[in-house]
Parts: sequence; structure tokens; C-alpha cells
Amino acid sequence: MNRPVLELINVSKTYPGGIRALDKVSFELKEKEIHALLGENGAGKSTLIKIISGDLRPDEGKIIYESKETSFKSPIDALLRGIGTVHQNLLLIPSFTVFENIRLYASVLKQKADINALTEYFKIFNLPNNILTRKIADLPLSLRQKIEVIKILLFRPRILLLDEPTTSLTPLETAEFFNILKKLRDEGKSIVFVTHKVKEAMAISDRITILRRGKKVVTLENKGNLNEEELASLIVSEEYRMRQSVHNIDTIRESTKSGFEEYALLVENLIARDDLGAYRLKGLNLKLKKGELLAIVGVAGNGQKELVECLVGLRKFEKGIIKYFESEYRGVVDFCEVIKKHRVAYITEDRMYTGVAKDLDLATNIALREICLERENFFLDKRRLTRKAKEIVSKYGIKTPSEKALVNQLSGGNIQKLIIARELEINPLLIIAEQPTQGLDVKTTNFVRSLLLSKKGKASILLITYDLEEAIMLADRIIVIYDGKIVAEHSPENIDLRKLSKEMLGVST
Amino acid sequence: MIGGKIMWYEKKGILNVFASFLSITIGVAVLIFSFYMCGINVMSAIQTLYFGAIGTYNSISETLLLASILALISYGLTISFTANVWNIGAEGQYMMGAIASTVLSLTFKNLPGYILIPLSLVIGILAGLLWALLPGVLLVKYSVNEVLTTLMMNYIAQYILSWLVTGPLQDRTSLFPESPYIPSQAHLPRIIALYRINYISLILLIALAPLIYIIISKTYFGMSLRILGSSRRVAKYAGLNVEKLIISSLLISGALSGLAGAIEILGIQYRLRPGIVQGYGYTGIVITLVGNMHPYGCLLASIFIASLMNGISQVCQLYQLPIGLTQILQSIFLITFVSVKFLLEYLSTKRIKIYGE
Amino acid sequence: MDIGLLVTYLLRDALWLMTPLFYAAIGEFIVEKAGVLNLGIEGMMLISAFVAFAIGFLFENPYIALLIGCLAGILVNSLFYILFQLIGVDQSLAGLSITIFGSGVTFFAFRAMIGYSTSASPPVVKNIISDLPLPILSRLPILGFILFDQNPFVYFSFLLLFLFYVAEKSDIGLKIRTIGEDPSIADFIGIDVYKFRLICVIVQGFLSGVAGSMLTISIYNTFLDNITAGLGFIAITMVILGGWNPIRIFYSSFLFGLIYALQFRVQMYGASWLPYQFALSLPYIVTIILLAVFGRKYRPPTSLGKPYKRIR
Repeated sequence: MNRPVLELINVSKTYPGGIRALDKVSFELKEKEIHALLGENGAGKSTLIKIISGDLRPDEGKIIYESKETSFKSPIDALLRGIGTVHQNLLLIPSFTVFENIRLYASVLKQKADINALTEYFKIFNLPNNILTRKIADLPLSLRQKIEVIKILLFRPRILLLDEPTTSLTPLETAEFFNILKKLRDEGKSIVFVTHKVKEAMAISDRITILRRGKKVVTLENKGNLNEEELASLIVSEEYRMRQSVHNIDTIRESTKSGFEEYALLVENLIARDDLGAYRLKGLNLKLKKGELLAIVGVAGNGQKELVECLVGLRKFEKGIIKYFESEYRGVVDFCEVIKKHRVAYITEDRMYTGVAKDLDLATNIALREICLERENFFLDKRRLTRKAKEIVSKYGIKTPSEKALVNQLSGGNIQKLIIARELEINPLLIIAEQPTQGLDVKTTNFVRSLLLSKKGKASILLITYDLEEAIMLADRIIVIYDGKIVAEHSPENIDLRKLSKEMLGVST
Repeated sequence: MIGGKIMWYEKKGILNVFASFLSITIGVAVLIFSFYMCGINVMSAIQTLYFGAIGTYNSISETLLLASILALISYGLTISFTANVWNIGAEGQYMMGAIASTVLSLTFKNLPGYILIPLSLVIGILAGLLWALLPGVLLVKYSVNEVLTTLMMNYIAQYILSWLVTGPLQDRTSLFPESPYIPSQAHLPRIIALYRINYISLILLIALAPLIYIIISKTYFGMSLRILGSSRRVAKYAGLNVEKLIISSLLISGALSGLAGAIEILGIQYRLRPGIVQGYGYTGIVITLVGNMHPYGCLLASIFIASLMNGISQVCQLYQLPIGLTQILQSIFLITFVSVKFLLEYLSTKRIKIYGE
Repeated sequence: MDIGLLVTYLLRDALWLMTPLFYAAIGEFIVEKAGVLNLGIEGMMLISAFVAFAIGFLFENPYIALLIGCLAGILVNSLFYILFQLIGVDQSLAGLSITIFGSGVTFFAFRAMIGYSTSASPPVVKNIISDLPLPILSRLPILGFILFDQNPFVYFSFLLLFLFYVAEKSDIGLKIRTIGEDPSIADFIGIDVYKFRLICVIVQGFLSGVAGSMLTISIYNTFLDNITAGLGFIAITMVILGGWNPIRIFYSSFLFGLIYALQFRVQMYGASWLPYQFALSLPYIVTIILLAVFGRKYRPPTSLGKPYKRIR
């Protein structure tokens, strides 16, 4: 029987501001196991990981590591003592080479990196040796993730914490990754695998611990006996309600499926480069029919960002045509004109640094779009803007001390609501939504999704998402982007996930 | 280029106003202390200071006159700084305005005053505007840091001025490096013949403040500048023409500094001399910052600093103190102000919680 | 004058006249690698120049003047550190404040000093640090004259170049570079951002102190208002044009040294058709042109100029 290597007993953590992230949670990790930590956004998984990895200290409770009660002073301290963490935000410096990143860790940990182990790991992870001299910035996200894992493994941790490691991997890459994890477990490591995807937890883990709203719900042995629906209901009591609303969503979709004629957005042979001069869009074609919701799925880094930037005038394109309704653009889109003429809304992925001006107040941020709409007027009507801000705050349930508050006093979810509210308030005919529900809690996610669905029919929606479930749930059509081109099209009804993964990876079917 | 600051139109200006007053108080205290250290009678020094500043009709005239020059520069800087464009070149733009108005009024010395004066002022505006154009274009097209370019333009302007007054423009009848006097009809008409303060300076000093205020807070252009100043990315996202905005803010700022230079010639110096270079461009920066980049704050700060400058020069004359007391005072204002303001900001943000989660 | 001789003199002067610029540029290079944009070099150099002048004038020992000048540089830069890192003033604003402060303080202090001096002639530092020809090497033809019959500061500039070239590749260099790329990651993995930045700031203070002092106790022998004449900002330009690489910074500084050398010779041999103001404004014109053409060639450290406060 495997002995416990790490135990958390009745650990609690409250953030300043009163949010109780963990409430007397007990967690046990055995030797040679893969232990999944399952829960929705905001359940406390990240907090638990931060405590185990030494980033935070618990307010209450004990940590027992290697049979002794202890505490970790810092993530580096934890790593030195055998607990390595791979975060969602990779701790890699993009402008350094792989070698420099490893060397940095070696220097900080005051240890020599094991070069032999390095070559071994390169083999296991299927990486060429010359990757050492390449800059992280030149590598795709999946490779970067592998490098990060290898970097941690070089310092021989007993415990490996992985925070949502599969977000940017295709299903095939995920399977590959899982094989590596199993190998590591068999070599004697203990792995904590944080995820919100039930299927993954069931596929990889020996045990599953479910967290909900800061409390531990249960720890289950995973011997092939578990039921996905049951697990889902344990994760979120609202899951049923979400499933219900999924059914509602299905009915809405049925009713709006009436004939789509004409195109709201037409993209022909779009060719564009990224900031470093590399070609990112290599002849992209797409047609968005009026009234439909078209989802573009694909692994991050295949041109989604550049496509959206071209569509909204943030990037010039070398060849091709972008046509909003009757307005044709070559070279660059004058988005201000597009907004004015065709009422196009753009919900940006980067809410903190692009979507809002943080040090300005709500009313000004809401008026951001007014600039393009009211181009003829010279003077702005402060009173009307403040009134509008008040309306929006109450209509969308944005929590804020007042409309005069600065945006940087709002939480992430409320900022997203603000952005969406602002964009949808212009009664758009076309909506470009980039990752609209990323990082939001279940309630807000459902709110946003039903909002988008309700606009379908009146408006045409282009949804760019990495979340396949979201695409299947909302879209009338799904297209796959790979290497700067649209490579496939699917109807969400009877979709073959294996085929989809291959297309996302560029494997010819 | 510079960010992370909170602006006046957020109605949280109490902290900022407090910072302004505190730094001014500290600066003046240092001044008085230095009087004491120099061994002069503090009370009579303060009296002299008062008389030099606003104690006599003449000093009121001089103070308002100086304030108008400083305020013009600082109004322009307010527009530019609001958009986060750091125009350090006000000094050079001022010089070019002075040069242009001198050249024009000397060239057309037979035109009547009602044509010559507006023409000279306009050419001053144009000169300052054009001098800011190159740094603007470089910033927009080649992402060249505007602090470096505007500063370099200052040095170049200085040498152009030096060359002109020792060469082509030099008054043949004078031993000094200076231009001939501008024709008398180009002199800005005074309000009272005895005192130098003229109508145009006074009007500009007072009327521009509300005008700039309206532009920044009540027009779409102003809102665009504020958004640009908050974040260039967000400005692009909002569909703003970032290039046009950056260049406009620099041109406006350059124009106002050029106008200040023209007024210096037409209303104070009446000829081009190296002595017109008094660091007003940099004083303007201090005023704009201490005035919290708010036109009314700049108005108050200009008058205050102008009165201080005149008062101090009176004191220095009387008591044989080294000149330069003003410069050091300004620097103290600036350093104290930025320290106090950001310190207060830091302390207050520690108490602001994230609302809603 | 024979062309060959002129070129030799030019090269030699260039190496000499580039030293203040190079020292200031290398100082700025370090702090920029750590993510800090210091626009206050000009003020720092001015204050050091004045302090060195004052000490040199009063005590007639240029070495002590140099030392105190460096100390002054360190002190001023510590003020900069307090402003931008501890109080949280925006880096560019803090730097500009220091520069304005420097010019104000020296403007006043210089006048205060000569106001109290009893001598009728302009104040001059009696002993300055002048050339030190190296024993055998300076006799080498041409090269010996250019490289080895120089001011000691020139010899040290080669040493400096070597030191920083090596330091950049070291572990400490890597840590500093990490801070400059992403201070939050650096902080997370246990690199003390505050401590390292303070070290860089102190080193820069020392180097700028040398650069400033050099002006009044070696290259010239007196103090003038704004004797630095934008050198601090040109140093920042050197870092940009040199792409944050010590060797390229050396080349750029050498180029400017040539410009200064040319200025010097033009003034000596006088070209009456060319106003001397043109020669004097050459560095500034060249700066603008070079920035326009090469300003975007190299990528700056990612977090340059961005404020960072420890969250943990």
C-alpha cells in the first residue's frame, strides 16, 4: 500500500477582502499516485495548489510533508524540498533560450542541472536536442509547456503539481501527455493534476478530490467505476441547472435556425504577418452568414489572434479582402468606420489591458464606443453618459461602488460584464467575441452564453474560442483554424471529436 | 511612455490638490529657511519678497506678464501630458517662436501694428508648431522616444538662436549679440502705459484656462486624449487614430510654446537676445505637474511661481544673494510634489479593495 | 596639416572624448537591463561634475575630487531609487525631476560658490587628471599614440568594457536580465528585485559620478552651467543604438567621440565659412538621425520603464 507523502489537515485560507477561498480542507497525496483535483473556476483549486507549492501560507491548519509538520517559505523553498509546480502561466522568459531558462533555475536553486537527465527527458517528450538554443518566444505553446515540465523535473521533485496543463493541447497531445504522466508516476513520483474537465480527471487519475466553493466535497478512488454525470453534479450543484439551460439553449437554437441568406462578414484569401514578420494568416477564407453564430476553434497560436486583429483594424494585411456587409477593405480595416456604418461589436480576449482604460472611470469606458458612433459631434454630454452608465450597471448586474468609480476597482468578472455590456448596448448587427467566458465563474459564463444566444438571429456572431464544449453548445457552424487557414467545417449536431482534433493539429485525415 | 497616474477629472483630486499645496508649502519653508541661513533678516526679506512679487503695481504687472508666458507653455504641456506624450521641447519651441516673430517683424517693419502684431504672433505659433512636428513624426513613424528627440531639438534651437544673434540677425550698431529692436508698432499694446503688462498676455492667461478645460473634459477630442493617455492599446481598440492624436497634442503644445516665445519678444524683450532663454520650458513642466495637469491648477501655479520668481530676484538684488535661488526652489517643488503625490496615492490604494468578489 | 597625422589625432581624441559618454552609457545599460529607465543621468552627472569641481577647486586634489564626485553620483541615484522604487513615482517622471533638480541645484551652488570666492580670475581646478602614457607600449608607432598615450580614464574604459561583457554572461547578469524581462517572474522564483535594482542603481551612480567628475577635473578644468550639455540623454541614446550590448554601446560611443573630436579640431583650425554653432549642434542632429534610422533595430528589455512593486 502506498504511504501518504503529503497531507493537508483542515487548511483554510481567506483572501483580504473577506473571500474565503478554502474552508477547512483536508487533502492527502500518496506515493506513486496521480491525484486529480477537480472543481470549477473559483472552487479553490488554485489556492490549494498555491499553498502546497509554497506560494501562500494557510491561515489555519497543518501541512505534513515527509511525516513532519512543516511550512514552506516560498515556491523555491518548496522546489528545493521536492515539490515542483507547473503553473498555467508558464514561468519562462520568452526572450531567453531554453538553455538560459534552465540555467536561471539552476542559478536560483543553487544547484547544477542534471544534463544527462535533460537528454533523457528530451527523448521522452519527443523534443530535438537543438531545442536548447531556441528562444522560448519562437516555440509554440505546447512545446513551451513541455519545456516547463522538463525544467521542473530536472530538479528531481518528489511531487509534481500541474495546474490545468492541458488547456492549450489538442486531445491527441493530451493523450500523449497523459502517457508521460503515467510513466513518471510509475517511477515513483506523486502528481497532483488540477482540472475542471471531468473527462480528463477520469482518464488519468488514481484518485479524484472534488472541491466546491472552498470546501472539499469528497475524495474518490478511480477504478473505472465512476460516472461522469455524478461527478459533474458533485462539482457544482448548479451543474444541473447549467444542463437545464443547455437544453434551453438547444431549443433556442432550433427556433433561430431559419434560412440564412447573405453574408454579414466575408474574408477572402487573407494573408498577414505577425509582429515578428512571420506569416500567420496564409490565405484564410471565411463566410459569416447573417444571423448565424459561427465558431472558430483551434489550438491557440494558429492565427486566431492575427485574424481578429485584422478584422478590427489592429493589424494590416498584405493580401486579401475583408468585407463587412457591403464595405470592402483591403490592406487595413478602418474599424471606427465599420462600427459606425455597420454597428459591429468586438468583445476582446484581453480584458484587463485592451478592453478597458483602467485608470479612467466607468462612464468614460462605457463611452469608448461612442467616439466612433458620434463622430460628427464635438462636445460630449457628460450627463447622458453617466445616466447610461447607471442603466448598464443595473441591467447587467455589475458590482461597483458607483458609476464614477475607476475601472481598476472592479473584479475581473465585472470588468468582462462591463466590456460585454458596452459592446452589446450599441445594438450590434455583428459581434466578434474572443474567448468571452474565459476565467469566469459558472453563473457569469451562463449569463454571457445565453446573452450571445439571445442576440443570434438579430445579429451575426463570430465566436473565437478554445473551448470545444462552448463551441458545440452555441454554434450553428464550427470551423477549424490551423496554421493560418480554415481547414474544416462541421455542424455541431453530430461532431466527430477525433476528426476534429486531427484537424486542429493539422494531421491529414 | 509614462503611465500609472491618476488624473484630475476623476473627482478624486483632493489628494492631488493636497499634494500640490503641501509641496509648495515645503518649498517656501525651505526658501525662508535659506534666508535665515544666509544670515539676513527674515522678516524684511519676506517683505521684499512680497513687494517684488505683488506688492507694487509694477510688480503686479511684471508677475502677470511672466505668468502669462509660463501659463501659455504650461497649458500646451497639459494637452500633451494628458495624452501621455512627453514634450520636453517646450524650451526649443519657445525659442523658435521668438526667432520667427523677430524675423517677421523686422522684415515687414513698415506694416501697421494691427497687421504686424497678429502676423508676428501667428508666425510664432507656426514656428513652435513646426518645431514640434519632427519629434512627433519620429515618434509616430519610428517609435522614437519623444523625450530624447524634443530635448535634442532644444539644443539645436539654442545654437540656431546663438548663430542668428551673432551673425545674420546681429544689430550692427550694438556690441552685444542681439538683434535690432523690433519696430514699435509691433510692441504689444499695454494696458497702462507705465507698466509692461499688455492686453494680449492678460487675455490669454485668463481665457485659455477654461478653454483648455472644456477641450479636455467636454469634447470627444479631449476624451480621446485621455484614453490615449491611459493606454495606447485601449485607444487603438477604441478605434482612435492614435497617430493623429499624438501629433495633434504635440503640435498644440508646440504652438502654445511658440506663442509664448513670440509674446516674450513682442511684449517684453523687443529684441532677440540669448537672454530670452531662461528655462521657461522646464519651469513650464514643473508648473504643469504641480498643477496636476489641470488648466486651473496651471493658472494658479503660473501666477504663484511667477510672483515667487519676481520676489526672489528682488531679494537677491537687495541682499546680494546668488541668483539661482528660483531654480533650486523649482526643483524642490517638483521633487517634493512627485514624492508626496505618489506616496499619498500608494497609501490610499492600499485601502481600496477590489469590489465585487 | 597632413591627413595621416590628423586622422591619428582624431582617433586619439575620439577615444578620450568618448569616455564620459561611455561611462554614463554603461551605467544606464545596467539599470536598463534591470528594467529601469533613468532619465535623471543628466542631473546626476551635473551634480557630480559640480561637486568634483568644488572639491578640486578647494582642496586642489583631483583624486579626492573624483571620489567625492562619485559619492555624489551614488547619493543622487539613491534619491532616484527612493523615488521610483520605494515611493512608486513613475520612472520617467522621477528621472526628469532629478534632472531638473540637478540643473537647478548646480546653477545656484556654482554661483553661491564663486560669490564667496575672493579671487578675481575665473575659478579653475589647479591639478587635473591628465595623460598617463604607458611605459613601453606608448612608444609603438601610431597605435601606441592612439591607445597607450592616453588619459587613465581611457584605459579604464577598456577594463569596464571587458568587465561588463563578462558580467553579462554571468549568473548575476542572468538574474538582472530576468528582472528586466519580467520582474514578477523574477520575484516569484526568489530573485530579490529590490536588492538587485539597488545594486545596479549604485553602480550606475558611481559610473555617472565618474563621468560627470571627468568633465570638470580632467577634460576641462572648470565648471560651466550645463557643462554636461545633454550628455546624459545622449548616453541613453547610446544604449538604444547599441541594442543593450556593451560592445555595440562602445562602438556608438566611439562614433560620438569622433564627432566631438571633429568639433574640437574644427574649432581649432577654424573653418570660417562654417559657423561654430553648427559644429556644436552636430551631436544633437546626429542623435536624432540615428534614432530615426536605427532606433527600432533592437528590442529593449520587456519591462523597461514599467513600474514594479512587490506583491508578496
